Amino acid sequence: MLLRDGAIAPGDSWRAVDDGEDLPAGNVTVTLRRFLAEREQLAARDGEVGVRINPGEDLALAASHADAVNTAALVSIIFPAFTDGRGFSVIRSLRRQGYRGEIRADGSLLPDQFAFLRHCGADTVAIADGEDAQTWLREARALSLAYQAGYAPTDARNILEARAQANRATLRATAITVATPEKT
Amino acid sequence: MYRYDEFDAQVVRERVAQFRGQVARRLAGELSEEEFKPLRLMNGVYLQLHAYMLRVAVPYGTLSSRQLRKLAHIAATYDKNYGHFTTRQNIQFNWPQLRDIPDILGELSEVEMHAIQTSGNCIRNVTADPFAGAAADEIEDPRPICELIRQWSTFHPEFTFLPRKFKIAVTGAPKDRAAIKVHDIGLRMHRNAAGAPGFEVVVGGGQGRTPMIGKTIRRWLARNEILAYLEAIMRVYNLHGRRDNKYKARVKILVHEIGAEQFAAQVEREYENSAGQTRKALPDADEIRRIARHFAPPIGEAEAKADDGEGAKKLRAARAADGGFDLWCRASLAAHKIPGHAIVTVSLKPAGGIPGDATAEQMRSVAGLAERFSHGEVRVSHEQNLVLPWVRAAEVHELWRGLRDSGLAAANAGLAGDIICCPGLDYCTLATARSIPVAQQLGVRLGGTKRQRDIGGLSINISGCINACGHHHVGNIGILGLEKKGREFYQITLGGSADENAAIGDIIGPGFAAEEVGDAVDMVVGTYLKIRRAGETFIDAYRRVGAEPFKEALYAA
Ligand code: SF4
Repeated sequence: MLLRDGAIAPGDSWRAVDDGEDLPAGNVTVTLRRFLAEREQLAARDGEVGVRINPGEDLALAASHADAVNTAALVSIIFPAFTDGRGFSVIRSLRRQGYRGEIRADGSLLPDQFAFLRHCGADTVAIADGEDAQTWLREARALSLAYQAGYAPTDARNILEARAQANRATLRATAITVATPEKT
Repeated sequence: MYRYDEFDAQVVRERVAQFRGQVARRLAGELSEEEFKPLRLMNGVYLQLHAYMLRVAVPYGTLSSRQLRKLAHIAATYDKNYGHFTTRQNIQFNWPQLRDIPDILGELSEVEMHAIQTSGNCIRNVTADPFAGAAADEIEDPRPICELIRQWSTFHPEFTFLPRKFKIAVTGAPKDRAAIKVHDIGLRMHRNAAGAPGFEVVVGGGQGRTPMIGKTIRRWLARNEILAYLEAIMRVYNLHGRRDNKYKARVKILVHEIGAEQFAAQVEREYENSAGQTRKALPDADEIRRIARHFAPPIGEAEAKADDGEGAKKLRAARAADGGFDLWCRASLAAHKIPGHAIVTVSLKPAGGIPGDATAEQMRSVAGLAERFSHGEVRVSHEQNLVLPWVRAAEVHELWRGLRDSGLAAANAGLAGDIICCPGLDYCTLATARSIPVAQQLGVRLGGTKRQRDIGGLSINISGCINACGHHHVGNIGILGLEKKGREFYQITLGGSADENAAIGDIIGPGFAAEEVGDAVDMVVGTYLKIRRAGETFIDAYRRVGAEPFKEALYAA
């Protein structure tokens, strides 16, 4: 099941294809290795191409082929374990290097991590079939505020922005008081 | 002191509500201990030998008297009437019931406290110089930066599942009272050639089974660049820190394996890449000023200027008239930034007591004395003592009498009796040996007033296992409790130091049985007394002569 923007997403059009497996029609994701090795074949077919990045194995390769990765229609980050937080930095780095397509978090993850993933820049999270989507959606909203600026917007309100806004409002209010001559 | 605004308060409130739900699910059996574990660890709840333990954050060691009263209340209501101040400036409660913990966290939130990120593989509570804002030698109060770091690191979306825990310490003074060189990141304020204050950035220090002194990766960094730069360090660590072996997962191992230069280069590259985004980003100058305003000294300029030296005179007279008071002053007072004031250390190390423990009554007494004599402010030091930072010289004598009435006037701060000690096998599941009884025994042996004075400045640190929570690696005399074939034994290290000349102690030879440790430490101290030159402290003497004379005294016979 796929969760997008804090809701259950309608059906998923992507198929994960292994190395050496024939490419079916339609949208597919392939491993980073295959994505880089078969770029022409992949581009020549109908359907879009996404790439799967495993933070455990692909870090160096992904970093040295940032331009190629940027052309993928989908980047799927496969978390090897929920305690392995490398994926968060991979997502963040992808956004920073200018990747604008969909980023999907997949693999071993906890409901509590949903909000963090989105904050780092992921659009969608794939959860296992047996999992309770409601728990995920609830946990994503458990904390309504965030201190970190410069990360992707989510429905959590950014504290620093709120404070800056309040500061500006105070300044404006003071400016108006000063500018309005008192009637005597 | 920093006061929460509506947002800070809401962050904590929501967290308490969330954890209340998680505890309810655990108590109802909906969550197994396995599933509950990562959730409770993110809220400072450990499962210890006999009970749950709750570790409450004292951000950069600063407490208000109101907060201290709340801690006393929690100790009295939910625990066995005491709390334990730790080497990370936090406080631990050893006997709370799981079902009470949401209420405890709720009570803490009323006084702007929490247990967030006091455990788990995340950025832990940031620590600082306990004399911050008050020390005579300080360049600038480091706590505004600490508060910025506290907020920035709270539920950081990118850095909450790190390879391992991550500790940051900050000092604003040349004299390092925050042990910054044995932290994952240490920040030391100093002025650059143009006279502007900024931070030296030290990375990869640490203790545990692989003790290391941190390496400088940036000589000077402007204050407003700190968060962006920390983010770069954290990203390099998060991506490249080892995850295959928990014992090699701290950033010190990464720095060691790739070398400080290479690590620095990676951080600088990361920093440059993100600079465009983050340098312009929030927090802006207004926000930094807003936070800094909270830390203005509670003593006004007028009062500071008006000092006529009468207070100091009165203090001198009281010291001359009362030998016991004078001894306490010698150990407990530190030079203040503001004339006519003193920084007072309140030792939590009565001879034979448990280092760092304070009863509810003692916490209330200190809170009351802080209100009368220290503008309601208290600090916790990594030596597990309390500090009253804003005391008028003229009132030190009266303060001392108040402390004495509460059994808090041990005249041993910085001396042999000021033993730093982790909970060890009396509480801790990871322990290989007891540490508290060793501390108690040594406290009695070395804690005689005259003896301590004679020995002079000396740090003794005891840990109950290789995790080194008692910081034994950086004790002038370090004691590590181990276990072999069901028997406890203790390894002694000499020459460690946690200050600006930080050093890891040398293992001196085979360990000692529990009943031999006292004699062994006595022997070490005796050797020092024999070889020292006039005015030479233990650590100076050790650095001059090395381990040999001590080894000989301990093992030759
Ligand atoms: S050093 Fe070991 S025994 Fe002591 S508190 Fe830490 S983990 Fe426990």
